Amino acid sequence: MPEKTSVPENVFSIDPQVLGKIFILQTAIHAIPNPESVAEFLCRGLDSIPGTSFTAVRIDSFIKFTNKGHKKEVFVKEPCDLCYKEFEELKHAGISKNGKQQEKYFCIHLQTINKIYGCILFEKNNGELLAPYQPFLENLANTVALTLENRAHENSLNQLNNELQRSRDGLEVLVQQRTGALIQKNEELINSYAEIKKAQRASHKLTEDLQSEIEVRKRTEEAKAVSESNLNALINNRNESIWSLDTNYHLIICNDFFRNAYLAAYHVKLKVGLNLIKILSPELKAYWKPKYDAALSGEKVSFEFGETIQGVRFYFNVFLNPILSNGKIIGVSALSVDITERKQAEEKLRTSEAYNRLLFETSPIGLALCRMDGSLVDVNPAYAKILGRTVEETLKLSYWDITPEKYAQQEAEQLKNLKETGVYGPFEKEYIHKDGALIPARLQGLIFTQEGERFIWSSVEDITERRKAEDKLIESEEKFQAIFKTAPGSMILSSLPDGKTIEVNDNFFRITGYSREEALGKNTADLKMWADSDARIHFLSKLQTDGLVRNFEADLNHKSGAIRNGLVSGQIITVQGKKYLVSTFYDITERKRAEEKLQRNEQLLRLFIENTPAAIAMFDREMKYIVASRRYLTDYDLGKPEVIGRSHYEILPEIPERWKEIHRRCLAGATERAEEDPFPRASGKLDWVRWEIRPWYERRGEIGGIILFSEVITERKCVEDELKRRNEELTALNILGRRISQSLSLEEVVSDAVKELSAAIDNETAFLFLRDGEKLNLVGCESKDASFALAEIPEHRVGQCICGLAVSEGKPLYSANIFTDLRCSWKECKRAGFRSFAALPLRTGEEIIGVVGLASKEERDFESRSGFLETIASQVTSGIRNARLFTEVQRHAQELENRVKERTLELQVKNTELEAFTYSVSHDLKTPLRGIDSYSLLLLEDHADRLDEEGRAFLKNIRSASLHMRHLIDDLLAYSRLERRHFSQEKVNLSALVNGLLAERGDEVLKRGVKITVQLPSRAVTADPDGLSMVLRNLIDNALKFTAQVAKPAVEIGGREEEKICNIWVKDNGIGFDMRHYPQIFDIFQRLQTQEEFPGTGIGLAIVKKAMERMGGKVWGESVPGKGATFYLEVPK
Amino acid sequence: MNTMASASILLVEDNPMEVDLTIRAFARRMVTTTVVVARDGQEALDFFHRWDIGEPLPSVILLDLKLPKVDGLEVLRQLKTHVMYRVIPVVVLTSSQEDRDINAAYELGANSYIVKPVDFDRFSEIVALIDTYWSALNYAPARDDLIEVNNL
Repeated sequence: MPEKTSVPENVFSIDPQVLGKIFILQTAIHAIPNPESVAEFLCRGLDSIPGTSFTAVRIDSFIKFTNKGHKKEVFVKEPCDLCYKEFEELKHAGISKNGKQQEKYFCIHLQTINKIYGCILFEKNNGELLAPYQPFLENLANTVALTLENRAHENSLNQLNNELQRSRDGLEVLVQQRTGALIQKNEELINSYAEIKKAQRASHKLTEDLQSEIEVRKRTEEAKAVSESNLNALINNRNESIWSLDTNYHLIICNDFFRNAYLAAYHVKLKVGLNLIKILSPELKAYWKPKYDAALSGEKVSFEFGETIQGVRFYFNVFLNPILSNGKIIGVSALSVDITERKQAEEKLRTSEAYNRLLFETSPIGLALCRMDGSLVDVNPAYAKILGRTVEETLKLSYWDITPEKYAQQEAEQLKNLKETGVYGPFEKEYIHKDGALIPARLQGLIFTQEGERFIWSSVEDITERRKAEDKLIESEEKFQAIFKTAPGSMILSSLPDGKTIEVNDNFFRITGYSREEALGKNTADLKMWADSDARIHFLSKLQTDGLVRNFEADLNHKSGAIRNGLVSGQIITVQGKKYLVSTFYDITERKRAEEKLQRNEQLLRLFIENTPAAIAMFDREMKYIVASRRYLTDYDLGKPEVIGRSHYEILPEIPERWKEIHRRCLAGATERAEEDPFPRASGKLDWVRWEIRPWYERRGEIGGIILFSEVITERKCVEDELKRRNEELTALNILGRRISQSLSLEEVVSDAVKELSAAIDNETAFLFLRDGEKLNLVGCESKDASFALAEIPEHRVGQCICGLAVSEGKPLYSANIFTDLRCSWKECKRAGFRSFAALPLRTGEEIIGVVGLASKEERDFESRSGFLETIASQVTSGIRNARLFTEVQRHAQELENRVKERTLELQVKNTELEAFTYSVSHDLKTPLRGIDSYSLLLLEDHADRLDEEGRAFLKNIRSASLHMRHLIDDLLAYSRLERRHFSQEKVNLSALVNGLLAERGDEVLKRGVKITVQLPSRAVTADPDGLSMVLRNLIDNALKFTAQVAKPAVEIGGREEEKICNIWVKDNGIGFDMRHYPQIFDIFQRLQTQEEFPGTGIGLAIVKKAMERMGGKVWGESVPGKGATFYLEVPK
Repeated sequence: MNTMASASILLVEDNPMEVDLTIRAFARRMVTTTVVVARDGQEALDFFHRWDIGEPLPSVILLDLKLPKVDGLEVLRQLKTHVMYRVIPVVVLTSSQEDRDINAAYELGANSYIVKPVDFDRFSEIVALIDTYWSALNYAPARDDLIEVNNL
């Protein structure tokens, strides 16, 4: 009889395609970049898990769901929120629990021990169908959560440190869970494979059994032939159908089983002799007839026959044998065995094999089948992937090709173990990757025998990631150790539940006074460390319920008896299934004191700040007021100090973004300030503030918030602005004054004035009109508006428009808006786009000489600066007046100069005429004189004999008169030549000159016996030689002439050197002259004596004086009548 | 062309009294040379035409400066810039003692300058010198060479 096979429920109720999907999700999840994509990916992969009707995945804030769902939001939100809350509660209890089963929903949290990242939610429609997948799904969820967490971990190593204790536990649990799950899965796979093999074997056995059964039947038939009488008894006791037919298909015999079955199946009651073919349907007839015919022809026929009876499919193994009687075929004997059950088992087995193949192919764990010599028979893709190869490549390798030599020994031992026990591992080794890298792997396997040959079946898991996690774990452990060692507080690690100390840290002794040795093996009660035993009980009970106690304030006894106030924290941790307590104690005695002091200081600081006369406010990082000075509160109208603790933005909700930006920058560490900043008040008033904002730092160096110092400087700024304006005005006045006074040209003054006027009013437009009777002429214009042209302003008139009115009224006129001002009657300014205007008359005394116009396109209050503008106008006025006066003076000067030039020209002409006159008169006079002289001489020489004495005397008189006339003319000519000729400046030797002159007169001197004395310096003088010679000759001649009637005539010629000059004198002892006449003696034709006594022309001294003047020297004389005269000359050396 | 000077004196003088007195003075000192008179500057310049057609050149020209029509200095300038007639000695005879007249006359090439009233004794010496001048000129190289010399 065939054995009924038992197949594990787990495996056979799982759809391998679904499982494959889960595996794919699990292996690929780490490659999905961001939470949203992960959610999407999971949702798609899990959309048709058997037994579910709707799937939703939420990671962080991203929610994805299958399209099958309805009321999606409700489905997703409600249970998840519930899960979330529950998770929080569980977390507080220090116990982590994965998954939450509900009636309608199955929800798996994507959670690690630290955090819930989201959840996968299924709506159940068949809990039983879903149940087998749950462990896989949970495992998947773990992987996803771990992947998410790993990302988070990578992003913040700091968090790892902070969460060190918990993460240590968590990691271990996770690794265990993960490894456990994988091992389980692996074992399941191996089991299932073994089961399959078993089923195969069972199936083979069944076939063999059937064969032997058939043999039995044969024998039975033979026996029947021998004893037909026993046949019925025999066949009717069997559970198989037995029947036989004759050559015409007529039923010879059949057992009850067959009969009953036939009745049940075809509703036909069988009788011997019934044609079994005839009663069949055409399909069945066509099926059965050839088979009977074959048996009737002598063949042994066997086949499987399937038939659906009353909706149930039955299978039968049918054997048809020819019945031989005396070598002749007389009929067919038939046996039909119900093999429905076996068939079903086979069917199941076949399906199961396919499933297992699929599992084999899709398993994330590497599976390999190899012979005892190490040659690989079959591997799955996961196995090949570990080696970095394809399956085909891998199958060409031997186990030893991929095992590093260093594992040879280990392998040998394992192999030995394997041969003895039939299983090996799990153990860890490394495989050689295609690229040569060593891949850590975890192996386990078993031996099984197939068709006499022994194979090794191994499962291999790539544990690179786990190794990394383990490395992290080790690292974490090291960190834990380091923290434990160096933690600032006292730390105790004690076992539970007895609380015996296992380890203490270095600070333990320092804080408690107990050495490590004293503490080990004892609990805190033994050491009487708790000052208050109730506190200890409270602490422990809290620890038991919560698993964790933080900063429990308690007093502990120091070994010395002193009481230490501190904070106790404790946490229960699980290491390898055993519970431990890690507790810390921070001594805060000092800190408390410091805190009290700090509080006092803070109080003082607060008082100080509140009462400080400056506006100061201190904010925390959320911009909440920590403290603010009263001055600050009043300056910013914030009222009572109720702002403390409230946010600045809450109090001033309309604060501009600019300020928020500044606050943000300062909170980030910047210091910002402004010397002048406009501060518009709610009232509309514009205040000015000076402020500075800087961050303040907490003890740890972090920015705790910002401090704002500020000062309302509106008044100061107003004064400053006013001063600045005044200063600018004064500067402008100064510049204008200087420029205007620098220039005396009216054009320049006007041009400078309009330029400076324009500059003084922020380069607005300035005009300048000058008055001409009733007309006002535009003489200057300066405008920043280049498009504005002078031509646009026509000639203006006194009394018209604002400029003309300012002149006629004689006072400045201001208009803030010329469009509404009736005084502004002309259109030009409006057309030019001006809006405000100032007209400043230029007044000098009672007279108004013009007007200055100032125009702006804005509504400008010129009048507010009237003082300044009028001062400028008066400056301009005086500038213009000065320029005009100057022009007049210049005109006068020019006139005078012109007149002088005219006169000079006239004089020059007259002079030239006079000269020409003198010249020609002298010249022309000489010619007739020569005639008189010559002809009187000819008369005297040739005709004297014909004249009497008297006639001859007349002739002599004529001749003497003409001689005198000639002298006169010569002297006159000489005198006039002195005026015209050039005088040179040469070195003249005085002695030589005088001696030469005396020699000319030598005869006369000798004849008259004149005593001549010459005493002259040997130094030369600078003079014109001819001029000096003429002067001295005249003086010597005069000296000789006027001593003519003296008894002892004497002439002295002397000289004396002075510093720069030389004095020369000619002294005589002649008749001299009365000093009364001195003023006239150098005039021309002045004579003091008669012609008879002393003949002369009266020109000599005039020549002397003129020549001395021309030579840059002087002449003067002195005399006493009758005692002689002395003439002095002063000649430059 | 005749480069030889005739035994005549050209007297350029507008005053008849002066002319008379000069002629008398020459006569008194036994100077027999013919005196030709030009009564103004233009008349003096008209002599150029007469000399051009072959009339003998005067041996000396006595030139007054103050002349009607053409000024004496202008006559002097034209004489002394003339290619051929500049060889004729010119004695400026004037009553002007002005420096500028004296300088101007010498600059224009006057050979002598005598201020009136003339000292005829001294004047005779000058005339004798002029004779020597002319004899030297007669032995001088040919006229073409003269031009060449003048061009230098």
